[in-house]
Amino acid sequence: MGRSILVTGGSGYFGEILAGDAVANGDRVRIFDVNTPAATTPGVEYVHGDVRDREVLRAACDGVDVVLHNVAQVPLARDRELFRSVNVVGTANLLVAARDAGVSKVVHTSSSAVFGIPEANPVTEETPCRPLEAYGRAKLEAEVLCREAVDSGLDVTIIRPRTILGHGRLGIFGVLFEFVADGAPVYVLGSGDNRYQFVHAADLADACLRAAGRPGPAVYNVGTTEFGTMRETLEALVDHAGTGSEVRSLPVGPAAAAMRGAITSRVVWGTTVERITTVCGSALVRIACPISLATASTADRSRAPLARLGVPTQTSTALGGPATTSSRSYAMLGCTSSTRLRFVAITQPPAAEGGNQSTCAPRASPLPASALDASLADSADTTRSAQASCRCAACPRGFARAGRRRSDAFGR
Amino acid sequence: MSSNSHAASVAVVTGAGGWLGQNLVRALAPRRERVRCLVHTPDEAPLLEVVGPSVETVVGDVRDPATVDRLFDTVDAATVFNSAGVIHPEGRTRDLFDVNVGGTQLVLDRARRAGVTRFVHVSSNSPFGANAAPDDRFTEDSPYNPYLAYGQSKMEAEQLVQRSHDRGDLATVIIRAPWFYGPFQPERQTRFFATVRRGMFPIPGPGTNRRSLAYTGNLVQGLLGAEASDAAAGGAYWVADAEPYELREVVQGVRDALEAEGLPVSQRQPRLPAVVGTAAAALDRVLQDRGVYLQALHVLGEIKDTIACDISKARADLGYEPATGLVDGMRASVRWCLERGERI
Repeated sequence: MGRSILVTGGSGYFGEILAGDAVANGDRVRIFDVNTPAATTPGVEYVHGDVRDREVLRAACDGVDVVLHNVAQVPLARDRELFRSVNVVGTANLLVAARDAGVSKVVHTSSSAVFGIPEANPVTEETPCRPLEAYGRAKLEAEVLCREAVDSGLDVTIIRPRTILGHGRLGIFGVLFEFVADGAPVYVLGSGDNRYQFVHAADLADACLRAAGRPGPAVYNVGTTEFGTMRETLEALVDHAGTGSEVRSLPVGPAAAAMRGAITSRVVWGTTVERITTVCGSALVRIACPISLATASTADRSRAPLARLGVPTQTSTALGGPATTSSRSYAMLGCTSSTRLRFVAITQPPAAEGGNQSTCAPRASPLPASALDASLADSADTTRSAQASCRCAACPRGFARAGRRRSDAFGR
Repeated sequence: MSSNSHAASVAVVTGAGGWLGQNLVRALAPRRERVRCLVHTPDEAPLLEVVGPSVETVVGDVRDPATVDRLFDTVDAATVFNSAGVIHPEGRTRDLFDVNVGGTQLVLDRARRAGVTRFVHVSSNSPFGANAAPDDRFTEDSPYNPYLAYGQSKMEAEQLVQRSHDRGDLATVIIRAPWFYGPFQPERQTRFFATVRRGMFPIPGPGTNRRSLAYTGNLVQGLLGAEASDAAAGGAYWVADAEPYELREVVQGVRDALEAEGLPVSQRQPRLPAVVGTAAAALDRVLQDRGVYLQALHVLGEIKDTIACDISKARADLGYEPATGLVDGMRASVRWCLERGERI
């Protein structure tokens, strides 16, 4: 019999994937969330509750071996009080409940927002955390609580994911997809040579579950191991879409000044996009979004920690071969001439594969840790294979067909 | 000399979510069976309980008898650290008396009924005002000369504690701590750092007036000494860093600490005519006489003064030895801010 796992935030986008993968691993899963899961999965128990409610949380931790803590107010919440009460105090509630219940392991999903804009890339686990906005500060404060809980005897591992993409979650690219679908230009700041890293939701789930199985507290940055510059990423996107969009450069000075103004006013980039949309209309969004991306260059050196976790990092880039590619309906939105993957966007799964719930499609056979070294090899072949199976319900081509459904969530 | 005869297995801490309280709870938690903490808001409870399984919290107001009853529920031969207090009330001075005096009376009463073995009360320099001359230092024999409403409230609280001891109700120790610095600092201290960093902190006059400061880690050692020392019962002690600092040294110490932690610092030092501090103090007095409190005015009016103390008696009776000096303590404070993403 597997472990008894509590997935807080298990009805959320990432939590559902995580819960599904845990069930596939043979674990017993209990979801704790304010929202009911979108679908009933056999073997998954649902507990309705809010992390701010200590009593309910205490009951939810009863009999649990492992807690995967994912409840968080995302940056779009724009509510400092919620960031504090949910992300900070809620995490403290969880840690205390887990410790009191005798939970043997907590995996806390933090965020690379704790780094702010680092002085040097790539960041490592030793890079000083200098968050720029309220969300990042709250996530960092939650990490401090995790460390205090470790000092008091609880085994807590912190996972810091880069921006999450996955089925139905286009993150910051959701906005861009609209422009590309319209054939409108997209902009980069200057040459667009800043590198921007994502993590695939399935890979993140894999990392969390591996962290859950590894005794002893640790901190891991988790992101895809292969990624390109912003220009390369966007060019791959528009090339693939074939809608006539092209990538254009904006002069660095004025655009950067505008962004500095936004940061000074403590507005995170996602919020900037929204506010500018409200005030100035969509034309400016086409500028603001890539500027935001351009100035928010953060790249994790995630291979080493992934290796320590035994994560087959190949799946971060090429998704592990035709079987997993098929089951998850991945679509590669572009490769360079060297065939190394630069950007992975995830489509809505085709209707034939069962709609949205296939986001929790179980991994056929996770790679054992011993397979790690081999999995770090260049994934050109699987990339080509995956590209050949592209079905782009949510990429710009398919996006237009699907009536411009937009991802409703920005990454962590 | 100190002894460990009074290191109780149960500690009760009021004001546990505050600046000093958070430091104290973290020192107590690993070594006590139970640390019963009074916190003011529900959010403070889990943030303290994370520290360790020995930490128990009671949420409520020290002015509320039912809350203080719950604080002492199932508590008997414990040590009480009474660090609840208001130093900068919001708008009106009334809270100073309700909390600092009324709250202390309630805690004394419940502690006596519970059978508490030692009552360590956190007081202040304010019951003694400012030193009369630049080289003076307060000792335990200095007469009361309370400075405005806060000083009056802390003096009255001291008198309640002392009477409790004199009646034989409780074995009390009063610890008089000046200006704190250290981890778990409130926002106002972070603002102080930020103002110094940007070269905007004004010093009235030459800045040679002396101030005793108490690093929170040192102060915690003083409180633990007050709990453990047989000789301390019924006494009052000044607990601070080893020596007072000139005000300009304090500001420079903050600069040095910020730079040592990798933050660029402006070396600009704005000066104010000494008369500005005097005028601020006069206006502060007029307003407080009418029950009105303005924090910035109060701080400006007090910063010009020499407030220095002699810690010889604490050294002798409590075994107190301040281990941390100004720059190291300020560095720990800066690190604490940076570790939490606080902007300085």
